[in-house]
Amino acid sequence: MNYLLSILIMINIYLILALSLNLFMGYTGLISLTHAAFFGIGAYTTALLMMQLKLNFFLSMLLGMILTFFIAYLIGKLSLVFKEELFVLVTLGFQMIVFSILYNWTKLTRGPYGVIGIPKPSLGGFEFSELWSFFILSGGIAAIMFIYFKILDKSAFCLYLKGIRDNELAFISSGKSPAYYKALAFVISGGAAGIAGALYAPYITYIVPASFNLDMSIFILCIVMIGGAGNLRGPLIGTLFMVIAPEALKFLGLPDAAAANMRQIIYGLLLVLLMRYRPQGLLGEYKFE
Amino acid sequence: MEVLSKLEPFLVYGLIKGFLYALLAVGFCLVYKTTRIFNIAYGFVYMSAAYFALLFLDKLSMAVPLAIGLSLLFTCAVGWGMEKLVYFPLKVKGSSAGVYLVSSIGIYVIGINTIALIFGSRSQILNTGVEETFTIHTTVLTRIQVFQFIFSLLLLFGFSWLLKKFQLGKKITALSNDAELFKIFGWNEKSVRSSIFILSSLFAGAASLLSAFDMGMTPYVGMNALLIGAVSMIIGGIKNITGAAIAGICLGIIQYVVVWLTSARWEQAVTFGVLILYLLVSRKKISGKVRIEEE
Repeated sequence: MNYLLSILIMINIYLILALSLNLFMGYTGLISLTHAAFFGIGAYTTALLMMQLKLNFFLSMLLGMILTFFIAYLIGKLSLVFKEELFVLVTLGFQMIVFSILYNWTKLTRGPYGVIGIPKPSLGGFEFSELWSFFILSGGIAAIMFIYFKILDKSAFCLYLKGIRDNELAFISSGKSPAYYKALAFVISGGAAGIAGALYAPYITYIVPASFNLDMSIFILCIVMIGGAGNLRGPLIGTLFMVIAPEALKFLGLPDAAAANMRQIIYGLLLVLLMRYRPQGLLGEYKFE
Repeated sequence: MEVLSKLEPFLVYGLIKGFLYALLAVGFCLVYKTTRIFNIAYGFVYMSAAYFALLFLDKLSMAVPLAIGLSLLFTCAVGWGMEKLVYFPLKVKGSSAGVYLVSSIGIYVIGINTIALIFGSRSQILNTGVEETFTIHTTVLTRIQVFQFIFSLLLLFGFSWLLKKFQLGKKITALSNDAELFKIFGWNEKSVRSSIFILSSLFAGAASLLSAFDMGMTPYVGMNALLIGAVSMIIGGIKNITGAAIAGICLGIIQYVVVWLTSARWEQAVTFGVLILYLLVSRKKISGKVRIEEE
């Protein structure tokens, strides 16, 4: 039962990440590799605020989200000037810089040793320390995020984004600024990843910079690519697949390190094959071609 | 004056490292310039050379020159295989830059993890025994550093000679300038592309071996090599191979000087710091250029 709950909690967290990346990638058609950095900023801010300033989890999460918004704004402002592969390289650069900071600012983050002993969230005397209660918390937040993205999906905002994605020139001629909407999507997407980080830190109770490296960014990208982008079904099915499939691999009985490599190889193969035969992923709307 | 003599070794080391970076930049730029593929898998090609060498030297105990030759040959085969199996079929389909990019991330992930699966992810070294050293003025150089310097220079000049004097070089320049016209002339794009990938892998492989003999390797330093190549290319002016090489050399020197001033932990951040600083200063210029190219 606990095993099942822990998988469900991970699904909740990754669903938020996938939905947030999808808002940016699926609707603007740009590929970002900074997502693990936002995830990490959310996680570190929440953990440090809870531990050093003894703030409540929900307040820490909010502040973590605001900081992520702010950083996403700065990164977006600098990187959205570029297109296609240059944009990807710049986002990759920021991913590396944030990782370097988490790794090297040892006074604040304890560097490679990470932050340990992160307390469980509590609300009005109730502590979400049992797995089932944490599942309800993460599930609740994931559901709120899902509804939020659903509303966005139907909104004019996402329609604008799709307009920019499909024909930027035509969009400009309608008198609106594509840069503004892209930046807004990037900031919302980053902030939402920060929320996922805020949930991740107290769930795992220890965080190290290696959890938020480029591999994680690629993993989130895989979720969206495999499930499909541009709607909500895609990221949902992608998350289910990417969280549950590795569990099935565990039954093969490979040693841990080899299993991790095998998993990655399979993700890589999936990416290559999908791009060749099904660029829209399993259930996606937008086709990267 | 004292500061200068302390700084001198760092400048020399930086310059040597810069030559290695120039190799990386040329290999990466060559592919991007001609095929528009932002080849993330370049990091895997780079890594494969070092691990082929490890296989031939350590596991099969071959003589050093033979092992190096074979590693380079196999590395070129890896690059060529990527083009044959993945990139060219995508090109036939008429894919966009994003598709190439995601595919190349896929290849990178497959490749690096295969290496880690076979050889383990711990740090390994190629050279054994004590290195000879030479002292020039106040700088102490190891034998491998001298080799790095000589071979990088040979490769860089050899390549510029190839571009100018040989038909293949001219075809490469032609393909990068105008792919449509290239086809109209009736030249075989497929074979030129293959040669481009082989050449690019040769550069990556050479840089990888020269660096692995000096400092060893883990499967994950390939990403660093790719980033150096990509950043140098952008700073050098995107489609300008000479510019990319010069940018690589500068990047090497800047990294060493910053390491001298602070600590080695920030090496990677410096690379991107330079990129972002450069972008901030000249972003209008660059984005303008990109837009023109796209239209």
